[in-house]
Amino acid sequence: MPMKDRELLDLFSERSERAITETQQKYGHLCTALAERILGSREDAEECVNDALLSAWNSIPPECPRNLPAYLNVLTRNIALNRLKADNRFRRGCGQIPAVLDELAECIPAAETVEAEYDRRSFLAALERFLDTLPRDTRVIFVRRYWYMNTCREIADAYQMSESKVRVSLTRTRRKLKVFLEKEDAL
Amino acid sequence: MNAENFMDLLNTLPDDMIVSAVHAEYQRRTLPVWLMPAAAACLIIGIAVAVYPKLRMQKPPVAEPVISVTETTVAQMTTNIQTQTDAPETKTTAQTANTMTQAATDSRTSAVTEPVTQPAETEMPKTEPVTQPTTPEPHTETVPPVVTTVPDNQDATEPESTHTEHQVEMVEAVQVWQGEMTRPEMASDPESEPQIRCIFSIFNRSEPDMDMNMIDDIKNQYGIPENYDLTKNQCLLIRLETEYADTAVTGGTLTADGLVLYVACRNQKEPLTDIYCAAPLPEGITVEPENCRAEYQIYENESEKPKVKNPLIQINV
Repeated sequence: MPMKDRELLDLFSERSERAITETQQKYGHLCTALAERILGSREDAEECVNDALLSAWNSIPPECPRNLPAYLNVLTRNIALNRLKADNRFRRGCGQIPAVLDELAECIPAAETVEAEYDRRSFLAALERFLDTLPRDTRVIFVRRYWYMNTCREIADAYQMSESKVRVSLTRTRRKLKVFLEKEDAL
Repeated sequence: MNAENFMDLLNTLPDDMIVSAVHAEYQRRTLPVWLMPAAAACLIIGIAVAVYPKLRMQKPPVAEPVISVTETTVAQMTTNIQTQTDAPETKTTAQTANTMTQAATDSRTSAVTEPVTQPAETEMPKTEPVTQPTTPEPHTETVPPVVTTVPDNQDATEPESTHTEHQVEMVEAVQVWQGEMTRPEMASDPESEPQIRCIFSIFNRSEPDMDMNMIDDIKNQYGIPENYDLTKNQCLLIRLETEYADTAVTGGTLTADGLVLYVACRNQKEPLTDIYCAAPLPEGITVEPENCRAEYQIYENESEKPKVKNPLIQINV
């Protein structure tokens, strides 16, 4: 019987090493799958998850995440992406990254500005507003594709719909995103 | 901002959005169950709205046993010189009959009053022959002949000669049923002008003492179909007494002013013939025999004969 998130956080606060093993048992497979989709390697993914758990051990406390699985997923995703960049494999192709980047390039132009930090904030705010405007199902498909790096086939299987329907939904969402960001002057 | 930065930026999405994407169940857009009976109800209401006005149009029959009879006798000539003669009027206890006699000669220069007297009808119209001028002279009032010029292409205000040219705001049309043709043995002067007259009567359901045999006789005589219930529906009965050849009803027009029946015949004298016709009168239409008249088209050659297979009476009330 897996422990509840509150109990896991208590173990972290008590600095009990059980916190690592229990968290690994409960959320290990979720984080590993995410890392594997980014890195394209099971071994690299497991290493990445271990790093994420260590990072959680170091940050809790003082941090007390309201949503533990989301917190662990964000840590794992960041570590996996950083590892790709460090190995200079980002563009060479690994897992779902190249396909995701190509798709996003349709709506996100490759332009760096001097006001990079300001742009990040305004862009993030615009993105959140955009996602709030989407229907729930469309938003879920978008997040699973570009956050969790799920393939279209996986999303289609998860929601028992055709792969083409997922692709169409993503295409339309990207098109809307581009129009939205242009309208918001966030690009 | 580029795609790589965008990937990093996605890490800062709210936790709720990230977690809900994993655990979300896809919301299938299934048709609500309650929508089906609602749609069926709408369909039924729609059909009812479409059908109900048509059902309302069918009025129930109203029984008013009234029989009235009138006779109109007209002798026409090709020059259309008309002379009206009032015939003696006789009233019986049962019915009132109006007799109007119109006679004309075939002369362009003079019009001779040739009254045709029809004794008053007491019951249903009988097959009575045209009374020749040898009968006792009735009170005759000679009206100066009114010459009406009727060229080949008739004036637009004049009634047309065939029913097909009378369709003005046609609302409904009823078919004229052809009944028997009988030839009463009547001696007539071969030198005299041919006579023709039309007798109208409205069979407005049976009289209380009229039994089914009489109704059947009327049906057979006037060519009324078996399935037309005379005890519930009114009917126009027409009797044509003619000495012209090829006499036939070609149509008619029923307006608020009355009925005009169009009759065509060839200008050749033949023994007297009685032709019986009938036409159904729809419910709600009231027509008096006094308001019924016939217009005759007398043609010379067979080629001029109007080709009307099923004569119709246009109802424009």
